[in-house]
Amino acid sequence: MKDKIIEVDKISKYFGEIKAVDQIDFYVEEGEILGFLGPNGSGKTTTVRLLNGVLFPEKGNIKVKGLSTINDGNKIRKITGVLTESAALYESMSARENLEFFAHLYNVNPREIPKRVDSLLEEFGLSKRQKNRVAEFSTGMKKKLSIARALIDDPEILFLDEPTTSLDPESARDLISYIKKLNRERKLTIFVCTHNLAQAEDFCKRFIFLDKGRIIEEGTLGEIESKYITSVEMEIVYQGGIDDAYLNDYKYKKVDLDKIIITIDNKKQVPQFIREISQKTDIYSINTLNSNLEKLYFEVRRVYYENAGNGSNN
Amino acid sequence: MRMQAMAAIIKKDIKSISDNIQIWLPLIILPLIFVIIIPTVLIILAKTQNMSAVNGIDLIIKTIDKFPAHMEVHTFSDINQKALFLVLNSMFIPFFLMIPAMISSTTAAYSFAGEKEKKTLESLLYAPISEKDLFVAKILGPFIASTAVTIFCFICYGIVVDVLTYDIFGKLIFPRLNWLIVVFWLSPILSIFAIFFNVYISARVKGFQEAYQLGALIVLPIVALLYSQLTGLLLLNNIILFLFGLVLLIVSVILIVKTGKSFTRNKLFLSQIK
Repeated sequence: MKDKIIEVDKISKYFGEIKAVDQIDFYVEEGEILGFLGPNGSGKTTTVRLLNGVLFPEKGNIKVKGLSTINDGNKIRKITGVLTESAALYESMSARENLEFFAHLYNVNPREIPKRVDSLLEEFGLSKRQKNRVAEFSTGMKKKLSIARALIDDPEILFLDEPTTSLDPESARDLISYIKKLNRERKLTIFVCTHNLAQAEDFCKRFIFLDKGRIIEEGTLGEIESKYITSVEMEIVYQGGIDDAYLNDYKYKKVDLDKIIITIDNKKQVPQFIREISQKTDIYSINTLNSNLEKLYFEVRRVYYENAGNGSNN
Repeated sequence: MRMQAMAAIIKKDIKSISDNIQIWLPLIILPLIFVIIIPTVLIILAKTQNMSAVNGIDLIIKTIDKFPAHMEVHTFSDINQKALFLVLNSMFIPFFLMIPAMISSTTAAYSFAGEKEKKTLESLLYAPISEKDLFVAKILGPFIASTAVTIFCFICYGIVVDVLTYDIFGKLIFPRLNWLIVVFWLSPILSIFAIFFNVYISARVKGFQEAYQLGALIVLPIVALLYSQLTGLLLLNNIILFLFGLVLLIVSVILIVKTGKSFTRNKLFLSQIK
């Protein structure tokens, strides 16, 4: 296991009567991409604010690289870069002026600033519009500039709150590739809050599911899957018939003349099943259909609400 | 203190004011009226009209009579000279004080409440800058703007007054010690007071307009000063001007302590998301 770069110990944050974050415990490993998933209002953005020491928890402790968010906030903010939807850019300033301004705020060596700004503008395809006022930018361009701003001081931890919202599919794909590259090449720790499950599945290595300020599940896709989904779905392509009487022992559906999707209730039965079916027909391929994150997410929420007994997961 | 970050904030604040015509246009018009147009009209009137025939001159004569005998105003024999000297050198002071008051109030409202309104305060709070540095930088921007404009207006007013009145008095009548007290003691303190008053207000309002309107309350003590002087209740001699500055300074220190305590990231952030 790698070092824990963020350690959160039973933190709570209330806004009046509302429990925005309620007794959550979690960690982030150095160099990982963690997906912090939950519906709107589940406490994702509040957690980012707490982790950066701009809000203080009512209860609990947070350590970022061993530093306390309450006492060492500035040291923490020096190693983090943050993108949230609510932290705006200066619209009356140009893209370049915005980046230069934040470079000064982050105490980047003044001699390094032009080079750093040029490189980020180039990286995000904003070089040609660098002198335009941000007010003239599209939402997607503002998002790119905000991410460039978050990277201005070459942070060790990057917080991205809904990074692909308002980006067109191509820009979203490019951004995800860029995030993966940052993680791969610079070993950057990335904390991503999102409700875009398909994208999260693409680039996050571990997940935390949040609901109404509480953590309802966490782990890698495989770990969570093993807790919630015991059955296995397999797509089988064959030639010739299969005896219906044999198949009737399983849940299955014919998707084509020579293709079925079959559900095996217990993973342990899979080898035995493959041996049996191979003797009954000519098998061309067997593919396990993995659970996707979306399916898993809703299953986790369903089970959570079922156990909680309130029946509502809206 | 991190000078690089503070200088960036000050530069950004001053630039954002100069880029916003809705902010700087009134800030140009007000001084233009007070230090060029009104004194010019008054001087032309004094040159062309017999002041003893002007309505309300009795009030000014009564005020002149209240000045101690050794005061310079009594060295002039002509009523036009006396009235003009009094108006330009004493009665104009409250009008002039409107300049630092309004400029610092408007720029401070824009600097603090404007950041909240545009949701850029959150971006600042994510940066590794201490609350103290942020506080000082946000105050220095409006203070520098206000002081620079005040000194510029003082110079312009002096040129207008001395050039246009030289043929009337045969000497330079501006500035006198009272104006030096106004410009280098009272105006900076008034600016500080107006800025902190706005910081206090800005934490409690949602946006610039609200802060700007409430911040305009700052002119009330100046209007009271103007009224007192016009009615002869209070003559703005050097001691009164100094004491007025001292009182404002004490009130400002109280405001600094009060606003400084609430200038924490956590509280600023909560005020941003309210």
